[in-house]
Amino acid sequence: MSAGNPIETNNAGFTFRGHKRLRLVVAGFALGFAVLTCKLAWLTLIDTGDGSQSAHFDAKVRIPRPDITDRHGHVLATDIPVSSLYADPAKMIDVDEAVELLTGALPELNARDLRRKLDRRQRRFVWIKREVSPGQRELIHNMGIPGVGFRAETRRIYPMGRLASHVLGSVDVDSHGIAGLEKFLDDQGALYTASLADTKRAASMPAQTSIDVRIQHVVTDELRKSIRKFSAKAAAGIVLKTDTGEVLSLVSLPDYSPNNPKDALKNENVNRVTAGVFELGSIIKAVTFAMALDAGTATLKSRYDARYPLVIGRARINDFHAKRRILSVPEIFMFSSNIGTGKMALEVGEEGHQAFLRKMGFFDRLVTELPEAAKPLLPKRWGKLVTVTASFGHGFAVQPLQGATVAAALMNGGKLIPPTLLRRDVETAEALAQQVIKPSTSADMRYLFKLNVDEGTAGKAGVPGFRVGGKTGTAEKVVNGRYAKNRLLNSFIGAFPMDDPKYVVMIMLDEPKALPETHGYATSGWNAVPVAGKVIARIAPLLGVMPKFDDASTAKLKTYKASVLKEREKLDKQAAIAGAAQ
Amino acid sequence: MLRLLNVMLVLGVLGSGFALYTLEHRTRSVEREVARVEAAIESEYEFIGLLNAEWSLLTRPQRLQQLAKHHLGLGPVWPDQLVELSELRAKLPAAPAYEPDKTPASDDPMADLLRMMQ
Repeated sequence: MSAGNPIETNNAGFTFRGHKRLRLVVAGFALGFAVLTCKLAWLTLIDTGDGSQSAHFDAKVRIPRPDITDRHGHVLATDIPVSSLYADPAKMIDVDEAVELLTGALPELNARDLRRKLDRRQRRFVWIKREVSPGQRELIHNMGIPGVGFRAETRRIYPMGRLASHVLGSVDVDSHGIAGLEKFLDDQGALYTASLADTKRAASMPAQTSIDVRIQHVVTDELRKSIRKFSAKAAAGIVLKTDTGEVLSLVSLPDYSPNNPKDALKNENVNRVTAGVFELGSIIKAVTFAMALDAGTATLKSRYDARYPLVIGRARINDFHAKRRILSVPEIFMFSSNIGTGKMALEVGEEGHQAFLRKMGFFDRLVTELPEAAKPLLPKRWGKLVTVTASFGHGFAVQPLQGATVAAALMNGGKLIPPTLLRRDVETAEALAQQVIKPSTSADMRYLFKLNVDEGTAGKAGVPGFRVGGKTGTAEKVVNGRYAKNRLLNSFIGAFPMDDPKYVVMIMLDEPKALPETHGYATSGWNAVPVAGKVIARIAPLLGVMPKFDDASTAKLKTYKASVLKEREKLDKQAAIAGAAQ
Repeated sequence: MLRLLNVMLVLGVLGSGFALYTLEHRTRSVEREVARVEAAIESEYEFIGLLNAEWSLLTRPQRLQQLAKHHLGLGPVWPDQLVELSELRAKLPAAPAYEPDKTPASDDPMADLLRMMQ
């Protein structure tokens, strides 16, 4: 205060400079906060989408698998959460105590093995038990053993068990598909499988098959009974929807439980419907008839001389039920005449025959979703004799499903539709369909099939009211390069309702034996055909097919009911005896 | 002037700090709630999956067939048991004649009914 001026100027200069600095500092802070605010706004208000990438796909973890359902949504395969018990031996304090507690909680554990596992202190991770039940998990959790923990895993289960085992296939312990549709899903790529089953359950979509569990059960049930009744080695059955190519049922016995994946790859459990090829025998005659009728070399009114065996070179072709007379085309079909069928094929010619079989897809491996698909076995050289033998199904072997597919084409107006085990709608099927024969030929084939059930060898497949038609086949199996007379592969292929066939049914029995009640016969008409009849009687109501009765079928109804009741009574009696024996 | 500004700034800092703290606290608790609900939803889905599997296990056609046969005595349908709705009237059995006047009148209508059923 005493020396005013300099101080004043000083003061004034200080305040002036101070203001300037202050402003600078304020501006600096303001800028800093502005940057922070901007960054904060950027991070919070504007979504950059980084967060959504957290649900990434990691190839090392188990792939989530989609549920597999039947065509009506019944679960056939699903994942259930399980906990697996592991240990970190390095963190273990008292191995003896841990072993004692763990074996107490899980009695199935072997104490010595467990001790050996836990004693390896350099290991940081050992499984103690995969898939522990929730109760045991709680128990072990409450023991509080140091170095022991749980890892959440999923386990693939098949609630319907054996039903549809050959369609589903199975998975190994790490959830990789090893057979059937499960393998198909994996072969489409892990990402495809995972895309069906989102990690978030809400978004997951089941893989829907074309199978109907009720029909699958009926076919399995009847085939199982027939194996027991005729002491057959194996059996197979197919139900195919003719307008979409969807497989409603695919059964191959013996089967396995997909819950026990080790059995899936056993030889005797092979899927006979697609993984094996068989000579279908007389069923193939239907294809020859369709060929001749379509080419116009024969009509339903044509007649063929079946009085003498057909001689080609040194080979003589004879008939099983020889009639020794001139037969009309429907008669050749009903009596399953080899001579007549061979003559019809010869009229079309070797070239035409081959071309027709190729058009029907018999020369190619049929590919469906199932990875187990066998190549057809075809004759090496094609000559006159081969044309004749192939016309009645000798000398070439195909997947049974191929036979059913072609039969569907003969019935549905001539459209060959590749079969599928997944859901398919009619539009998609129409786009895939190939017109292979004329609709009029298909109508003729329907007539022949129906006639054969009403009056021919396939009579026992008939169910009054449901208008069944079909063709039987009895093929001798090739053993050591020769046809074995006593080892038969019997089949029936049929469709219903014949006024507009919607479903094709195929039944195969491997080496059925003759019974007293079949009068010592082991041919198809006595075993495969009645099985097909039983299957159709049970599935037709399920499929919404309405029975229609005329005088003939009403008359048959009474005897039909009586025979079914008699058989049912017999089965019940057998079951009662078996029950009493146990 | 300057002091007032300082006071205001300090108050502003305290106020915004408090606001920020409460906001963060609330956000955290909402986040926890969301995580909890999401986990609950996930476990519900797992449970639904488990129940679906159990439903499928219990409705195996094999099992239903056995139960229907054993407890209800049911079997496969006969072809002539299926009737179009329009034809139903023709297939119905004749209605039992019900003539209330002809039944002997008594004090106990329940006993009458039982007698009729016998």
